Amino acid sequence: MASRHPALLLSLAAVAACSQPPDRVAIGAGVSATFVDAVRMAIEDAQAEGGLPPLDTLFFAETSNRAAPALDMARQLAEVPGMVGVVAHSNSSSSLAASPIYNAAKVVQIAPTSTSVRFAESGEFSFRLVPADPMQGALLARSLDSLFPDGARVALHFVNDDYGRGLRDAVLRELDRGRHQVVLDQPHADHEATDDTVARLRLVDESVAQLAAARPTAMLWLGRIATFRLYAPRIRERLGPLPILAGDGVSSLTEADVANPDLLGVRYADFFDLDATPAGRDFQQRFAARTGIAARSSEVLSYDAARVILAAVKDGARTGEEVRAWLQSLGRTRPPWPGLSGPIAFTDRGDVERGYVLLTVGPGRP
Amino acid sequence: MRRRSLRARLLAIGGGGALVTVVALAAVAAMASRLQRELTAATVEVLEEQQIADRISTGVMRQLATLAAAGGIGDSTVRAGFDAAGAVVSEGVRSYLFRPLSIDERLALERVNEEHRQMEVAAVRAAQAAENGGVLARSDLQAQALGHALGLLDAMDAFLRQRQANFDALLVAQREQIARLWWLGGGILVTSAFAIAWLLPRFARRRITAPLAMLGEASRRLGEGALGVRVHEEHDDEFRALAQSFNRMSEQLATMQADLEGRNQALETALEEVHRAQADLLEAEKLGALGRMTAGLAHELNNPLASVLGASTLLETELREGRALPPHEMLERFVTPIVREATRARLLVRSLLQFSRRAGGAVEPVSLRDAVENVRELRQHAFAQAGLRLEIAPLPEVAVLAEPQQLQAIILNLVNNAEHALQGQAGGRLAIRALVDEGVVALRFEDDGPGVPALDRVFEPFYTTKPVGEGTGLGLALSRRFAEAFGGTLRVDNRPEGGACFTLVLRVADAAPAPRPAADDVMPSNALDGRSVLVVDDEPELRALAARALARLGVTVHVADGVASALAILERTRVDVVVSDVRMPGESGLDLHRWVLAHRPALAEHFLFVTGDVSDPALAALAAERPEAVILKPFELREYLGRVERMLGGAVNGER
Repeated sequence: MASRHPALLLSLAAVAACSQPPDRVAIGAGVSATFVDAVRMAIEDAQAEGGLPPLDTLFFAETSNRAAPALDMARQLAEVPGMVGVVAHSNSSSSLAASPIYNAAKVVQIAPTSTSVRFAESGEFSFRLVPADPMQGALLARSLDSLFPDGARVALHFVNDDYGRGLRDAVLRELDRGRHQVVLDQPHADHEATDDTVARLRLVDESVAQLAAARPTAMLWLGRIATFRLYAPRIRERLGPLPILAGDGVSSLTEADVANPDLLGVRYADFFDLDATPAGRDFQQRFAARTGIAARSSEVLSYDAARVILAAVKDGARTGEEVRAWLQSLGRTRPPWPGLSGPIAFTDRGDVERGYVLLTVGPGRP
Repeated sequence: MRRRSLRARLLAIGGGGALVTVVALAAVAAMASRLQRELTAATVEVLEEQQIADRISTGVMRQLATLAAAGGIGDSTVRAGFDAAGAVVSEGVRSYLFRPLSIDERLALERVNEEHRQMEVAAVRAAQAAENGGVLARSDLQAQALGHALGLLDAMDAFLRQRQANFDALLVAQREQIARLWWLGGGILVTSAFAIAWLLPRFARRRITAPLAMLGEASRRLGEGALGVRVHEEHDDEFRALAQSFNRMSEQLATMQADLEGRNQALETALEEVHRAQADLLEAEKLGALGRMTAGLAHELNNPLASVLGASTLLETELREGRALPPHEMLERFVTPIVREATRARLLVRSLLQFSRRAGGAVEPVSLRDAVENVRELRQHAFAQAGLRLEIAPLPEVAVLAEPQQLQAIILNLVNNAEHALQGQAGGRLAIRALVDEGVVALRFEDDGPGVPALDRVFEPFYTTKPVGEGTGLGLALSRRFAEAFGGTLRVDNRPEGGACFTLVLRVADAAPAPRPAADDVMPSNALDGRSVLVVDDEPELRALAARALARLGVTVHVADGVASALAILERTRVDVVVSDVRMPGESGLDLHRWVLAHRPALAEHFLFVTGDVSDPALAALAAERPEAVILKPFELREYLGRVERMLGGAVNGER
């Protein structure tokens, strides 16, 4: 039989050769620049620990929150031979838009900070290290209750994308309408922060004017830190020390943000308190020593995302399918992986169940 | 070559071919079906996407209309309607997200998404500006919103056109694939048909017709007698079994033929033995019959001989004592009884000679009456002695087709059997009568005996009811065989009143029987002076008797005791008639006749043989040609002299 079909044997051998795990694996990232630094650091730490096969890496630093550039990154990342997992992307819109590409290529995608409810529908190769918006919405609503037990006139300002709209919907669902009154429900766009034109500045002024006209007693900022930096001075200028609660979008505070008096006292949701653990503080020091930048939870989550993929590779996974299976086994047939952000184990929807903390911008609390 | 049955091979080829064809067609059909499903799904998707696009466009229009028509965005109802319409748009856009889109399509879709977000932002701000007043003119914001709305619609249009183009390309590709599949399916069918058309005859020739032809050829050769023929057994199971059976059959036939030849040889040997045994039995039967007959004849002859001897002795005494009785008294008291009894003895001997003649001649017209009379003459005295009656009804003068000696043997056998059956039964009767009817004669032999105990076996060879040693059991069997050889039959029945009835059915001959030599009752008394007769006989008494009797004709009588002395006489003396015995020491009468034929041809017609046996073929032929040339011993003196006198009457004088 064998002697009669040498061509078939050759074909089978070729197929077998193709089906064997590659000697090298690839890992990538498509996130903000500081996130990429965290990923690099994670790879270096993991390689320093040993046990990894030769790694190919491809990193993209996102410069916008738009989904279109993320699609192009995703296509390039998915085409890398041996690519088993990527840390991507920085926001829900991008993560969500790119997820079909990763799932089609069977490359594990771990979105470190994407909270959109829709992300859970992305597919079995898409994971994230944070819970979905409803938990954060509930946190913010309960915080309003505690800060304003007698009720508040609440102004909502949300970025009109998957992140902001999802978080806004979650807050509105959880908000006690009998106690609190939504006096303004205003969207904005992130590109306003990068479009530094007179018209755009007038647009921000107009929005803040509308905010002032609504005479709120509290404000919920459900957008990102870059845009908030644009709005905050006008808000302080028009509304003084208006209590502001923000979503996790402002958690990527820089040192300048911490020192910015317009942001002082702003309460924001974060996934964990990095200063609360020695490991977190150690990471901060190492990251700062490496980049000169203060690490926030997003960087830790990016670090953990890369490390957990590499842990799977170190454990023998050589394909995206094997990495996916390894991740799914955490908390089931394997113990949760001990990340800096806490124990990591994924639900059936690909989320990591963890709580939120409400932090305040101020001295001693970056 | 692995052996398989023809059925299994047919099943394998048919099933395999059918399976391959079916599988191939099924694969083609599955692919076509998959493509068809994909086309259907794509069509459904296009329709769904068309609906989604409609919802998106409608949502955008509704959002813009809501803001344009309502009093203010601060109105929660208005805002809710705006958001709801926006949610429809967002849902519509996101519903594309998990569809299999190309990167370009996803990018186009993201442009739609971004235009929508910015439209919403501008629209809400325009509405709020209208309510609360502000730095920016409401119209500018509305223009922005409208601009993004138009951008959204343009992006949506671009997206849909891209989708349509991709779908058209997919449609074309899938149609081409379907067309290729049709060609592939047709190719498979054509290939299958060709394979069947090419393979089937080859298969049939190789697996069916060739073995059949081989078997047919072998059968033909076998039928022609080539019993050693063998056929190859390397075929499928069915034909191999057939070939093996054929080979076994051929082998068995060869064995059986050899066995048959051996048996045939044995049968031939056995048959020869049977023939010999049969001949021996026939001889024994013949000898037995002859013995019985001789015994009876001796008894029969003793009586007349005793009478002749007694009368002769008395006559001799009378003559010696000189008592001269008158001639007529001498004739009545002595001579007439002597002549009568001697004649009776002669008749007995003649009948015996009739039976002693060799049978085997051709079937010829035979006088039924003479045949019966011969038997009667033989057996009537035996019947009378035994106190039995032999009653023969007047027989018609009819000739039947038979061999004379065998016919008499049949009749004698039936008479003897009846006599045996009637033994000890005083007054027992055998009645013989003949019935002529439409070309046949039925000669019935009815007796008063006990009948035949086993009618169905009585004609079997060796079946006999007589005591051991008294019969061979062949008499009736031979009688029936003779009768059937004549074209007649012999059957038996038991008479209702008791006794047996044998019926001999014979065909009536068209011609009359050959005439028998008739005795001349008149003693010649006229002398033939000057004529001479040569008498040749080795018996002195017969020579002397012949000389005395011939002297009454007045002829000169020369006597010779053998052929040699006869030739000496013929050499030196004129002879007109030669009367010669046949069997004599040395040369026979036939040798003398041949000499006469050679040296005195004219005398050959005046040559009278005197013999007791005409079994010699040459003599029989001569007797058949010239009955007057032969006279049987014992003969009546009148007939004897009459013959010689008629020959002398026609003799040519002067021959030496």
